[in-house]
Amino acid sequence: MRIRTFLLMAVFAAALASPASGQVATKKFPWQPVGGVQDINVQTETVVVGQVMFDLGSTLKATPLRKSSANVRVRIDNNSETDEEVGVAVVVFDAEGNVVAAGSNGTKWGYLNKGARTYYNIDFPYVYRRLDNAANFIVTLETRAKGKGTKPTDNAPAPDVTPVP
Amino acid sequence: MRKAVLFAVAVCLAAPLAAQQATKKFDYKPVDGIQTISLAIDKVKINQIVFKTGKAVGGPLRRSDAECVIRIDNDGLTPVQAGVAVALFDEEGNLVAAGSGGTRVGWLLAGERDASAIRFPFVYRNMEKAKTFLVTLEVQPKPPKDAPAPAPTPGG
Repeated sequence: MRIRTFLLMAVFAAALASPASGQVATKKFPWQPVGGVQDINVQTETVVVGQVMFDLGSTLKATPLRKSSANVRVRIDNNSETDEEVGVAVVVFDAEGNVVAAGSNGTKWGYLNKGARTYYNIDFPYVYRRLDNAANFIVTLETRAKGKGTKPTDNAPAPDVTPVP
Repeated sequence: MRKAVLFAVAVCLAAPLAAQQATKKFDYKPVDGIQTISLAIDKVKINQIVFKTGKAVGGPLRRSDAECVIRIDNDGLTPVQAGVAVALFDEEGNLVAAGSGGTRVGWLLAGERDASAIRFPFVYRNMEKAKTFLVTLEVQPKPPKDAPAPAPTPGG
């Protein structure tokens, strides 16, 4: 009896210790911003990335600093009934498939509350010099519902996937 | 005719040094996190990448300590600014991590080596499913002292 209890506890502990995966959806879009703004749709169940706003940025002239202020502002809606952890990654490609910018942002603290909207700025500080050659971009949305510590994807629908170049 | 040629030469000489870029796709096969790769623009080379899959920091903090460290060698004779972007994909083509790093201040001097950490703090939860990754190297050589202003870039 003791051994069974011990085994059950060990299995439970192992389950808790296993890396928690999230739901993930990736989608590719042609680069068509108007005034920097482009409406898109990437979603995992009820969390949606609905808009991106690109800023090609600038660098500080006559300084040794090499960082650019280029970034993309991503709008995220949590339309679900649960609070969610959210991560978003954006990779921008030129017509030949070269990466011209890449980065990620997301929930830093706590959760994105159910029904809430938020914006994340994804910076492109180091690879930005050919952003004007952008031809398409992919957006990945990664979410995990509050209270779903491990493997929430097991019962989730298949993500919306577009093959990358 | 001679004037036209001279003008063309002058324009070429006045042309600012544009950033060069190379992208390459690799299978995700690190051993103890370390993978040898080969990507170069002229004499600026990336030969090694070290992955750390990482985990959430813990508590209410949602950031992870996942990252990769890229080794950049400037084997050329000119100082450069180097930027590196890395994007990891799973078997289905989902992006599972992405980020960029590079020269933060000044130049990577001729003959020097730099290790640039690229963090994956917010999209990392499926990193262990990575099958392939893209590495982009972007290099901007330092213009000579008597050269005109550097190239206008989207970031500049």
